[in-house]
Amino acid sequence: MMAGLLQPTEGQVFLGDTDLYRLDDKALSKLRSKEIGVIPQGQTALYALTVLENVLLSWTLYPDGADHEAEAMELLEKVGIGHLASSMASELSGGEMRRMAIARAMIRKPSVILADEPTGDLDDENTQEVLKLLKETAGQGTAVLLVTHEKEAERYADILMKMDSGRLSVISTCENNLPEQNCF
Amino acid sequence: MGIRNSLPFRNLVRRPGRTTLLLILVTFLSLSIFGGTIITSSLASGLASLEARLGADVMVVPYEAATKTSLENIVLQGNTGYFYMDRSKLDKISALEGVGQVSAQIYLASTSSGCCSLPVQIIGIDPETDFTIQPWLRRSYGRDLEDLDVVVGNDLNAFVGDDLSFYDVDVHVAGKLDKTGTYMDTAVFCNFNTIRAMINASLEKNMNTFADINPDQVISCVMVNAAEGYTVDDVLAAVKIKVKGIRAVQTKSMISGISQSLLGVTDVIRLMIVLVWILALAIMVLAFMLIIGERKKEFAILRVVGASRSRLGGIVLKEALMVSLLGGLIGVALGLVIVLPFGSMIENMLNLPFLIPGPGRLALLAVVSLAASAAAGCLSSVMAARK
Repeated sequence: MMAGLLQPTEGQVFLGDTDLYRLDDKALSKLRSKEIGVIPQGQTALYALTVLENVLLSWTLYPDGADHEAEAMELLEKVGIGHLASSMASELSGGEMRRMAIARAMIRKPSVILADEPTGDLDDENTQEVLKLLKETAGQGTAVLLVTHEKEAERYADILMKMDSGRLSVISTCENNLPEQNCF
Repeated sequence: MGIRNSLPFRNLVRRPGRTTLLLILVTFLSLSIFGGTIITSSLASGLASLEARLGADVMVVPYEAATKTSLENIVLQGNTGYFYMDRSKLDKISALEGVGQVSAQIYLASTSSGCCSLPVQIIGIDPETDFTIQPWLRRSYGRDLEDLDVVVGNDLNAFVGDDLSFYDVDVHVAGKLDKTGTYMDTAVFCNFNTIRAMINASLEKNMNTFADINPDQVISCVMVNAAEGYTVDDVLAAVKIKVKGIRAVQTKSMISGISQSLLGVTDVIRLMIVLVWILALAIMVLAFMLIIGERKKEFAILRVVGASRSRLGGIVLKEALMVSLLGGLIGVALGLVIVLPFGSMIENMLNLPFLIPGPGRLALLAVVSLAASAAAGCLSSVMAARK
């Protein structure tokens, strides 16, 4: 719903001053491509494409005439799978695919990244890597909303919220400066 | 962005199994449309060609020749045969009221010839009066037939400059006719003097079934056109009443039997084309539905990265169009490879005049088949996407 993919039955979703659901599908899709990076749950690769092509998908849909391959390669290096750029997505492991999805969500330098269980199928080491990367992205001005069951993620959050029986409540913010939070 | 870098192209190339299945379906569809249309067009052209080349309103033949095994066999089926009547019949017919153009022909069948493994029909025409074959001869040959010169039909294995021998009469091939799709393709044409020399030679060798004829006094048939102001029925009636021992046949009625068969065959082929189109469309809708169902996750990812619903539809449509055009082209190419070289075999199987259309019409048929295949591909993808 926050990504502009599911029409709410009531209420509004704003990105800046833009009410997402007042836009038609074409305009909303374009906005999503540019401003909202989504890391869906599970394995979300297009298997007919290479890793690099998957990362560049948004630019393939909305080309601007420039070559973004170098940026994509830089992102892939950052998430640790630069050496797999020309591999087919179907050849990746679960963790590698997750990193690819992160790179794909970051390629347009969106205002918001919505990540649904981004560390779901990663080992401890990779979990740390991904969370660090998302924290770093947040530090560069991108709002990162992370939905997770991963306790470790608490250390990286500026704001912690809890969903309990359909109710969302704020547990803490960096202003509280809780010891478990790794606030910058 | 080049087509090779486009998402639909990459999807097709990197899913070879799926793409091959769709290609086979479209190829089969295109082949059936193109091949079927070539056959129906060839049959229609063959009949039109036969009508044009008979070129006379009435054919007058000896009474005993007007049976299925003689006249129609020669003219419609391209079999060999010959029969004779006295040449005085020509003068009698010429003198009748309502008769316009009149010209006689003399027939003979060779026993074997240098050009052919089977006997060929030899047709002698009078260059002075002929109005049925001469126009076509002039088109291919350009001048009147000289003594001992022959013009050969397109299907015969003889060429300009060859020397042939019929009943030991040596003749020179002076021309080769364009393809007509009729009996003329397997016949040899010469003037009266040449065919009379051949009949004489056949009589001397006791190889002619008519032992007691005088070649200078016989003809095989008279082609008649009604004069202006008279109907074909007028001429037919006059000939039947005033001339004895003959059978006058209206050429149109001769062709009507063949037209009926042709209609039957073309109707069946057209029905089959429509059925194949509908069947292929249904199978392709099903195939696209399965493919789209299988690709739901892929489409969800595309939506996530910013593809609009219309964009997704466009991707499916472009993939369908690419497959359809390629499959259509393969089908057309296969159609050309299968139907063109086996035209004469199809002709023999159907036993109907068969004239393959010229390059221009073939190109048009190819474009229509391609368009029908592409339409089926696109339509089925849209129908599947909507479901």
